[in-house]
Amino acid sequence: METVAINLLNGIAYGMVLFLIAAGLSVILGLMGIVNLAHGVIFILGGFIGLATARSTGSFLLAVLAGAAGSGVIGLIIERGFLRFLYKQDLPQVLVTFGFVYIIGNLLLWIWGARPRAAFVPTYFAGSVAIMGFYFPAHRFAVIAVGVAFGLGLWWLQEKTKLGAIIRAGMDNAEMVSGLGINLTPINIGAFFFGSAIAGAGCVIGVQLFGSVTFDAGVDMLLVAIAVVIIGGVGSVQGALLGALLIGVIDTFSRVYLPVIAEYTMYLVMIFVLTFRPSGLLGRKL
Amino acid sequence: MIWRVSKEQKKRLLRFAPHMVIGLLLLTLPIYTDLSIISLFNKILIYGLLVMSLDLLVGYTGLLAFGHAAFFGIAAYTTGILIKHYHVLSFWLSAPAGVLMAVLAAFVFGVIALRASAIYFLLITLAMGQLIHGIVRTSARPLGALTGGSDGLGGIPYPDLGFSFSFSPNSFYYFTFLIFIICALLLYWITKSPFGYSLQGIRESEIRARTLGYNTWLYQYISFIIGGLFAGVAGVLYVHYNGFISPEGVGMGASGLLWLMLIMGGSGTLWGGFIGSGIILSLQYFVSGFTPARWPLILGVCFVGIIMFYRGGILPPLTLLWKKMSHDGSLKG
Amino acid sequence: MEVLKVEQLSQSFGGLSILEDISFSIGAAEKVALIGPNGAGKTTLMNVLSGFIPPRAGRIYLLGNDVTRMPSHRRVSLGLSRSFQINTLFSHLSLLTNVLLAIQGVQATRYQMIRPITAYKENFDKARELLELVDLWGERDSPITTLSHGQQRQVEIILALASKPRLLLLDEPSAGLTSGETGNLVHMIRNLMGDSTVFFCAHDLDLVFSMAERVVVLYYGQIVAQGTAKEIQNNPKVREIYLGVEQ
Repeated sequence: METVAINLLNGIAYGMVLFLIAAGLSVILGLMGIVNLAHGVIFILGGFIGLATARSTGSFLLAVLAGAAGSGVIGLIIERGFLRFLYKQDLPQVLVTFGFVYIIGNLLLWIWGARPRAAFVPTYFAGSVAIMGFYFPAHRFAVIAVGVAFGLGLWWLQEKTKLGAIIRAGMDNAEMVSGLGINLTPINIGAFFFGSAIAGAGCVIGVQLFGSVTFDAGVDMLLVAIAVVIIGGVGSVQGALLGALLIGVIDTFSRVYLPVIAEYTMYLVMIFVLTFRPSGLLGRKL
Repeated sequence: MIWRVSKEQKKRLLRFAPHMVIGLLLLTLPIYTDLSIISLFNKILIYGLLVMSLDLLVGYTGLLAFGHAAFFGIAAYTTGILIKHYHVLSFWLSAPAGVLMAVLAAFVFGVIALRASAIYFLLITLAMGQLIHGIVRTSARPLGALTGGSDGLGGIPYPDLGFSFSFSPNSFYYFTFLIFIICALLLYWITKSPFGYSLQGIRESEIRARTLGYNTWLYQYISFIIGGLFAGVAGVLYVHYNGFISPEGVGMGASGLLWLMLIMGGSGTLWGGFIGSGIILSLQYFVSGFTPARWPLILGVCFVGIIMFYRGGILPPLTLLWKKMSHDGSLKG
Repeated sequence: MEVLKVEQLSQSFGGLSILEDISFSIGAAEKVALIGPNGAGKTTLMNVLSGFIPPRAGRIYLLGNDVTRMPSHRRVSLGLSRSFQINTLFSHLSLLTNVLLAIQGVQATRYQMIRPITAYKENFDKARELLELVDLWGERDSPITTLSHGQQRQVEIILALASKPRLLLLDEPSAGLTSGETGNLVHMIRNLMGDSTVFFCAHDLDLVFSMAERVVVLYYGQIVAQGTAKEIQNNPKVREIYLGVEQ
């Protein structure tokens, strides 16, 4: 019973990290129709920058901000410097982001080397919390808490603000929104920046779960993020959360109980969803 | 006796002149180059075939297949496992088995993937590729023992053709060349056939094709399977050439590399696949001489550059130039 | 036997009823027009007849065969053909290739993988015939995108005709054409489809009354009138719908 509970909490914590990385990807895809294949390496980049900041300043908060800023800026560069010129050409855009997977991945290797970067756990997250008779690491609770806070924030933004309404409208029918005189370009750019920034912050926070992060984890993370977006439904924040938690829990449990399929359970789920419900569990109808 | 060549025949010859020149150069390679260059071109031929099989799907049929390396990998691993773990040493058994597995995978994947369109097709084929990648990478029993997990499968010798013939790097190069020529010709004939032109129509407008009587799903499915078949052939050749196959050759990175080669050489041209493979692999060969660690960076930069400034690849402008010179064009009445 | 028989066809989108209880039939060699104001459901009817959308209820019979749920491409092999309101051509392929693909669409050889397409000389001759009818044989190697809109429209019709269909569906054939070009189009269709069955929808009433023997009037998804061209012209209900119809 205890192990099930621990695994469940671990799965939820992992799911929260996935939520942070997938939310950005989903919004970018929903709003601009771009599958940003570089999203995974942007995630890792944020982690590297954040961890380096933590090492030199000792402040976890600064690390998170630095990671977010770094990732956000790189995302911005890719969008404004390259994707912008390929307006409405879906395939070339996807391919360009793919080129950046190689570029950023190799830059990470060049600058920081191949050794895994160890996680930085701030003192106020050290130690364990007692839950129902067993102990669970406090920093993992922190991850869950951050995820929940972020989810609530996004939900509030999406449902209760004018900006949220514009974004939802933009995902449904961008032409109509522009036709109404609302300039979507700054919103698109903002979405790209924040989506990338959140991912970067998510890595700094989430690295505690993995213990360390290496430069080549970008591709794996990207694929998990895509799986989450597909399963949860493109453009849906709630979908991203649901998909992330689902994947997080399934992945964690399968690693423990069915290791032979653990490596690729989520791809099976993804294929299943794409076959029977291509719009995802909570996505907008295609 | 004066041999009179008609104007028609002259035109035909002219159009194939570049192919023949390149073919001649490739044929005589061992005479004036060393082993490492032979090995490079051997690899170029194998990847050339692989990218050409992808071109059939992407360039001709318009299917955004992002998991193509999976078929390559399935064939390579199947042949490798049969040889290494089950001692099926005869090429005439292990090779067809490898190709067959790739084709079976295409049969299954095709049915599932073709339920989706455009970007979702891309994602589902990507997921399928990663599924295979995960299967060959897992170290858990019993799969891990067969595939070698993330360490890969090694110790695969040259093919055993039976009649006490053993390969050397040179003779294997010619073997690859022979198979490449046969497969390339088959692919070429397919693209020039009614079926091939129908694929192009479907790529341009699926609706129009359907209203003209074409069962577009069937065409896409058949093309998917043919692509998987030739990718499988490339996979079998590769595992014998390299002696070793690892998960790196199967996942998104590998499939992405194929796309890179396809874009570089020009999609929808068939031979562009071979050219793209040649460019990228040659580039890699030279760069590896100086800064092997920076190769992915250079690759990425080249790729982004090509997409940003010219999305047609290198072959189309060359083809246009050649067409202008020989006054030839597409179908002539 | 009727070429086309439609029985109580209905179609809706969401809760909105687009087509309601549509019944009519077309006999061999008839030229029938479908008219009605915008939004009446003309294109939806065309899409249902050609197999792009399944109807919610009702039946469609093509030459006696029940094609209600048959996919588009199989209806074509039974003799149906269709042109689109918006040019739907194989954009980056040459004009000749476009026509060849259209001719090939109903031939078994379209699955052939080894012999080159150039080996099928009869198809090339047929393509030549068709293109010379519209004076476009000279442009056969040009990609479609280099042709003018009027020329593309002609190609759109040519492609539909290439399979020698038993029933030709034309969706707004004169869309975007000048009156001169429309005249050419009528001429072309008259010449090529002399004794074939045509069902077309159009806004241009001159075109309608110069080509159609019978007219079906669609209004808010229902047939409000059917009859000969003369009958429809004098029908008071039709006049009411089309305020300002010229005498």
